Amino acid sequence: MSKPAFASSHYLDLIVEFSKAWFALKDQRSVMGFLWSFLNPLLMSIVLFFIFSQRMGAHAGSDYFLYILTGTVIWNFFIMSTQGATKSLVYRANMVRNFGFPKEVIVFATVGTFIMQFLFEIVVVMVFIIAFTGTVTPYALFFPLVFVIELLIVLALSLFLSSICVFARDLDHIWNLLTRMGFFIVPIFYTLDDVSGPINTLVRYNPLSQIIIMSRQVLMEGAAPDPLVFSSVLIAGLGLLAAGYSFFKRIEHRIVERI
Amino acid sequence: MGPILRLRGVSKMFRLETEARTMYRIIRKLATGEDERKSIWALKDVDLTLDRGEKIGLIGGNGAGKTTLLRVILGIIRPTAGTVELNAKATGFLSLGVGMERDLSVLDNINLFGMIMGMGKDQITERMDAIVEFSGLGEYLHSPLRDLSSGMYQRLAFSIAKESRPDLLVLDEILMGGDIWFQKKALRFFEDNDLEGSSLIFTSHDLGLIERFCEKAVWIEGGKIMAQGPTEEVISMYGRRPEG
Repeated sequence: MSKPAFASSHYLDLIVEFSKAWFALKDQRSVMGFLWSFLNPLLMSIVLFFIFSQRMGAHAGSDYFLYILTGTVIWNFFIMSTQGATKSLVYRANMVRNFGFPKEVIVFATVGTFIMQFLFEIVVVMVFIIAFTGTVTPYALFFPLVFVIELLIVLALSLFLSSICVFARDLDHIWNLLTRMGFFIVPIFYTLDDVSGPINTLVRYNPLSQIIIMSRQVLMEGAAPDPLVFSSVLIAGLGLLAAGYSFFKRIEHRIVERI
Repeated sequence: MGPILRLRGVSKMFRLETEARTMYRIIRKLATGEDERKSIWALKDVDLTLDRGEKIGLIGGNGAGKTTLLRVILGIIRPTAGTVELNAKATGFLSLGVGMERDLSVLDNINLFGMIMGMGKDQITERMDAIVEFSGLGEYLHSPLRDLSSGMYQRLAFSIAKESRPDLLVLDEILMGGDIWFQKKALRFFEDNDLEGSSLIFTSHDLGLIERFCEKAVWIEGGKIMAQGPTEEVISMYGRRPEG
């Protein structure tokens, strides 16, 4: 079938152009569009803060609101982008049917629109951190590396989900349910010390949990991520992306016929 | 120099869906190995050769397999059997409006659709004037595409596809629906051999159009090539086909 999008600068340009165009369409290039999108994680964080600050806040330290907000924004990028990517090929079925470019371009460009949204959100999070704590340490420069790992996982899952959704249209409902449940196995409003037994193991070895924990370390706590954890999650992300990409390319020709 | 396109024994089978696409069906299929879908052959043993600069008209009834053949040629779908050798840069324009965004401006759409058609950013900038001039949409450059008529869409898309300057241009019923002004302009473009040595494959139900511009025609029916050769002969055979 088509050659991989990674192998061509033209396809990389196409991914960027689609991302820009679809992002502009999503928010109609308005300031309010950006703000509406950010209100979701912000309001969620406020609600979680008021509900859990008495019970869970103790282990999270004095900046419990920032703790929740950082976790929510990182988690929000994960669910929004994978949910958006799940239906990306089905929504753009006419493009899949009529053009010869590699179909992962559509999946990556869909994730690209959420990256743009995330960049805006993370800047606002930094503003909140500075407003609440008065400073951001140089360790924040590690954050792009942590985000790259999250991106690897998001891209990998997007390739699996978008391609399978062509053959099983109810996958988006199933994924929405799974991510709703997944919210509770990442430490967004609680810490690892708040859970014990098998739940603690489940949360601890969830790569998304480690990405959220490392993000808080570099953005809020002024600490470098644990090199062992960082490299383990990076290897897991790279392995998952390689598996997702190989799966997608293997069934790409069937996607085009069946969509 | 050999042909730019050669199809040898190309067949294409599709499976018809009989039930809703759900996870339950996938799991059941994996567990039982059952596949109750019916098969249909959209192309059967197609042989076709196209030389550089040659123009071929593809004729046949609805559902004959013309669009499937174009999609196989463009590498969008894989043949079930046979081989496709394409030794050229090919641009396909199979469906009006696909790849364009109604809420973006004409200018944004030129950039986006130009890239889909395989042009780089620099090439689009360099050929912008030619695209705008040929489409005749200069005064609408900053208007959203939704304000344009479908005929204008077509003018724009064709102008961009033409400026991508492919070795092989593949058009599916592209002159249907456009206004007379644009049809004349596009026809003049074909007539003047403005393709600069490019080859062309196009489908049309307008036999007069095929006769006027193509030295060779291919009649396809039920996925099989019924006749191919000099346009007049093929059209004459097509005209004598039994009804029904």
